Amino acid sequence: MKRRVRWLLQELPDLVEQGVINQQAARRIHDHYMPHLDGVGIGMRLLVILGALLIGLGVILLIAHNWPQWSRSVRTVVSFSPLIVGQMLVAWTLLRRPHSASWREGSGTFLFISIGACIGLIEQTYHLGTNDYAGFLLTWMLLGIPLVYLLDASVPLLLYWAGIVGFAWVAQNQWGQALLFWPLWLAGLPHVVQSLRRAPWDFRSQCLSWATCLAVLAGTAATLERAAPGLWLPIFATLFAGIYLTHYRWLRGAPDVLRSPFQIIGVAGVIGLSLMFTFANAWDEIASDHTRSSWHYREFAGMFDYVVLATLLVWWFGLLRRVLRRRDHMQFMYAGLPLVVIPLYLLAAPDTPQVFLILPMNLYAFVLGIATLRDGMRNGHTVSLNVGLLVICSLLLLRFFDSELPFTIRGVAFVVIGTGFLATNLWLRRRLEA
Amino acid sequence: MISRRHRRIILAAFIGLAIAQYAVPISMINKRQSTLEQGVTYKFRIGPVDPYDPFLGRYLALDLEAATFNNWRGEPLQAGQTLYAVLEQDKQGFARVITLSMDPPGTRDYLKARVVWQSGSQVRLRLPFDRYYLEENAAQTVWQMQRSNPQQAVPVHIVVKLQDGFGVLEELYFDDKPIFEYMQEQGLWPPLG
Repeated sequence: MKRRVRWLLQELPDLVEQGVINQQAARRIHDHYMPHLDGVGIGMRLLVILGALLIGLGVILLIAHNWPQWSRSVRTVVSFSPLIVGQMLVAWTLLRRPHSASWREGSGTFLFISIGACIGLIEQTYHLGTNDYAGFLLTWMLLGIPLVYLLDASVPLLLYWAGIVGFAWVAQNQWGQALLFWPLWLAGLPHVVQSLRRAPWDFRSQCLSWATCLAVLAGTAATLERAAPGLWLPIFATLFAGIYLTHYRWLRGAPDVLRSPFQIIGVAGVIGLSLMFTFANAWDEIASDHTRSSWHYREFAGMFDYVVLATLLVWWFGLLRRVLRRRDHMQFMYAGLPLVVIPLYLLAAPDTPQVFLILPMNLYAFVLGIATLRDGMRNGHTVSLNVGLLVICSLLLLRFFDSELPFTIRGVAFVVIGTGFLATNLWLRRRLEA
Repeated sequence: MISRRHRRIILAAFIGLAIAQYAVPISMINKRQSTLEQGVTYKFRIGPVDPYDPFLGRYLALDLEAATFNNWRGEPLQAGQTLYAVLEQDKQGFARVITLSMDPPGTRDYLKARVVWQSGSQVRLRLPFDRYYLEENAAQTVWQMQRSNPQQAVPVHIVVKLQDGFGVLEELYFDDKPIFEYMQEQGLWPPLG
């Protein structure tokens, strides 16, 4: 059956070209038979990918053994063998199994790892020093990223994200700056957008969404020069608010909350940051004379922190305008974090009384919690209700640990907060059932 | 659905990528191999220790004596900046940095290096040879050998080849013998069991 389906699908473009069937019919036949061809299910596909990943990593370990008996020429032959096998697998997939996601992902993953193994073994054979570790990662990633597009494969992209984040951290240390992270990140983005457009809620798009958000967060942390103290506050506030808004602009309507990575990361980030900024130490170093002075510091890269902030602000504001037009208060509460943080950041100076900074932040976090709670109660969303409760309780608990209250009072407060949690949930459930 | 034409483009692009995937490692090998064959030989004194790299395996971290230059009289250097260490051989044939230059010196042998720190006339350099990769048991043996007898440590040096400021490490020597030969003589290699 599979062989016949494969033959039929390969014939379709010719049939369209010769006018036997039209494009729509070809598309319908393709969509109808495709599941038969790749009907191995997601579990099987994951097993294939895991297999390729393990074999690839096993090859790296075997190579890392540093076989002492091998001469330079033997090592050279060995270093190329995984690469040759990987390329043959990919070529075969492109020729014979272009429709099989398992083959595309599996062979792509193996070849991606083989590239690293090949360059790594050569570096090892010639005892290359650590001076150029960043160069090693960069070469590997550049030779690997085209596979994502040629094979339409996502696992190599996940490896690529991990690789460029690693590159950013190493390059920041070795080269003093890692601005290349940004073009590298952009090079992987079209694949994610394409996958989200095609099927936003399937497993592949979900994994890609998580990985893309985490990569941009880790990459931002790695590439920030931190030349201006505290600039990370507005940068991360804008980044999380932007991720949150991206969800509402393009990715609304997921079948369940767990399939909204952008929303989860955005909400968690906004809440996490607002709670963090209620502490006095978050604002301590801002506007002090401290600047980064180690040899790692590069002035032009320091300037780039402002470019990152400006880009983020443009992206965030572009998305926020829509929320403002629609007068959606709930979204505005979350996406508005930079509107609180940026003025406070500008206000902060060594002699600014801390209460001016902490008080508005506490107020914002409190209102955020109340609004979420209210939204949950009104619309009967258990998740919103609990998130709202969690924010309010966390805020109370944090202030509690801040202060010097006796244990007995703290104990009573914990019991009261816990009871409130249970009571509110019970109340909502009764109301929903009624 | 992929059309024939589209598929041909993908295949052609893949062939291009495959060639690049060979070209990069081959050019790396070529550069190193030609340095090994045509380069000038230099010896560097060192004192090794033993760390581990998850991707590339066990190695000995090499601490080159020549990486500390004691005679800097020029303008203050910035940590991380690239410069050129001009080399000379002493009477026993070991490398010595005679001066640091901002530009590649014309006729003399040199190595591209980075400044780690500078304190007065003393400059600490990062030279390209800071690792020697070894099979894991051998690395362990060397480490134990050094630790068990730190007072009577045998002299260790590396031999490198230099060509146009680019250096390739050729071999690590313990007591003037290649590392594996030395370990065999001492009955430390191959490891028991």
